[in-house]
Amino acid sequence: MSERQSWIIFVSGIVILILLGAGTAAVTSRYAASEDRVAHTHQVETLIVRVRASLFTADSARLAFLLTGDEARLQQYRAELSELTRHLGNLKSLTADNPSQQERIAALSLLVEEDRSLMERSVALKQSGPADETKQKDIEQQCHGILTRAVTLLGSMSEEEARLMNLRVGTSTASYRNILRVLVLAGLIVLIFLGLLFRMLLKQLSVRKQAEAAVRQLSLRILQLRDAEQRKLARELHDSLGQALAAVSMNLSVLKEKGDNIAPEKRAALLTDSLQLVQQSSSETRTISHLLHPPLLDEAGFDSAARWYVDGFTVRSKISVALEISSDMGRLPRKTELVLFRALQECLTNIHKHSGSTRVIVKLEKRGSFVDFSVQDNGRGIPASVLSEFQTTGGGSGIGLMGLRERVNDLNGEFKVESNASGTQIHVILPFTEPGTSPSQPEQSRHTGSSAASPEKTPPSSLMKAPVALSPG
Amino acid sequence: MMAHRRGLASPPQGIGSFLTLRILLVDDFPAVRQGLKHLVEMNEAWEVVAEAGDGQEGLQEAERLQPDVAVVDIGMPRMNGLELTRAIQKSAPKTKVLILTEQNSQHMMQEARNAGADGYVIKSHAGSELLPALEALSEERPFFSSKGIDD
Repeated sequence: MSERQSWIIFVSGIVILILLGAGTAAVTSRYAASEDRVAHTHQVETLIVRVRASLFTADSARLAFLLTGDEARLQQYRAELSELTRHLGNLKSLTADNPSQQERIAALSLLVEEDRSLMERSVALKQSGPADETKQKDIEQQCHGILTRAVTLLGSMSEEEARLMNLRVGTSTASYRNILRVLVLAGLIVLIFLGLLFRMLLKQLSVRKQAEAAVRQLSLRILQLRDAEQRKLARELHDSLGQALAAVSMNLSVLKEKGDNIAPEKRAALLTDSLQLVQQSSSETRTISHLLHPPLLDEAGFDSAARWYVDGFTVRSKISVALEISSDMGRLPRKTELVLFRALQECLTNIHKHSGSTRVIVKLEKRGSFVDFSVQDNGRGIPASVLSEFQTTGGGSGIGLMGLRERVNDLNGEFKVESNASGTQIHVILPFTEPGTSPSQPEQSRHTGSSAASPEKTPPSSLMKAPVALSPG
Repeated sequence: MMAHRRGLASPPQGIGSFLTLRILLVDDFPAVRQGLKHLVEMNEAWEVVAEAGDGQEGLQEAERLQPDVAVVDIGMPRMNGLELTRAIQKSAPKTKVLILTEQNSQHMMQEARNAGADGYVIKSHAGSELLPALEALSEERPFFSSKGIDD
């Protein structure tokens, strides 16, 4: 799981949460608006009922006055009329957005006006003198007609409001359901994201664990390899140098003790033996030291060092090696040459130990801004299981190839292994750069002799570790 | 043992005993055996009766020849010097064992003592120590030189 993927998941999670928030806000405000409309419709319905009630109350108060002549009734009649006007005004303003209700209210207002003037006439008639039954009756009939029409009108207004009410309650319920849907959706999305993140985390943890285990294994193998190298070096020093020097010292002791009392042929034999042993030791020392780090590599470059190593390898292993280095190669940076030389050593050593090859082709070519180093053998190949483990986890093989790959990676190069039953090809591709600004001073370091004095020469203690690129610390 | 001490030989210059001494050299390096032989032969009464290149061979020769002294290296293939020392005590009880090794630690010298060795000489000091050691052993004295030993 890459860092980029994590960011994508995180950012898209945030975006989705923001969208969900906006959606919830929109749906909720729509729900609130529809609830307001419902309340508004309730208000209108109440006013309609009040208008009707006022109409009837005013009429009954007037009739009561006609019958009893009670002034209180007349007062009540007038109060109810003014109530009626107020209610009508309210109703008109509340339904301002509804043209059909406005029309009805206009008609209703006319009827109310008509009714009011009739009622005023009947009241005036009553106050003006003795009751005129016929006139009052006539007015009464007209009033009744008007009231009936008003009630019909109010009824249709009520129906209209009821219709609206139905509609608005429907909208409100739908909005409420939408809120629920959005919330459930949001919950699900959050759950999915949490799940995804949790999985990512687990994966990361297991990747890290694997990496840590690989590192531990690598350092363990480095230590083991260093032990093996040290043991090998100890053995070589003991076998080739220690024994020869002990023998020489014995021979010299004999010469010293005997002085002149020794047969000339015996003296000659002792001296010849000793000389031979010393020469042999000297040559062994050179070989051990050069295998650890060939001075040719620093002084003459990869080309010469590779030729020297390949010559010795061919003698030791009886494997024929064709070494092809492009003629325009010249010197490479010290680090690059060292990595190439270690690659050569590692590959040829593996070929000798494991492959059963008879022929090896070693090539070094310049390709644009890269140098391509390859070693190809005709042996039995690396076992598929070992190769695939090396390519996926880096393990499985000996430390050598892993170490080599680390060296190559360190120089931003590329390391490739191809292997099948008819041979193995290893490529080391390194960026090509001209040698750096601090060229070695080979002549000086060779002739000043004292190895400790020259930083160009590695002291023996670290020479032992030299074949292991990854030695810790 | 006495049968091997065949009286006086012509005395060599300055060093060495007059008693004959039959010596077995066991070391895996021919050059070392050669050097030892040169050293031993400085005493004309002493004789290298056989050489062996590893522990097994050394044991066979010791059984066969019953030498007076076996000069034994420690680091050898097939059977190391300490094992050989123990084995010689069983199969050639009269043979003295002189350990000759480049191992210069006190501990190794103690190991050699424990294994039953009669002497211990550091290889690089063989030139000056080997003859006194052989002499000591021929006179039934142990020889554990501290020369070259690290503590």
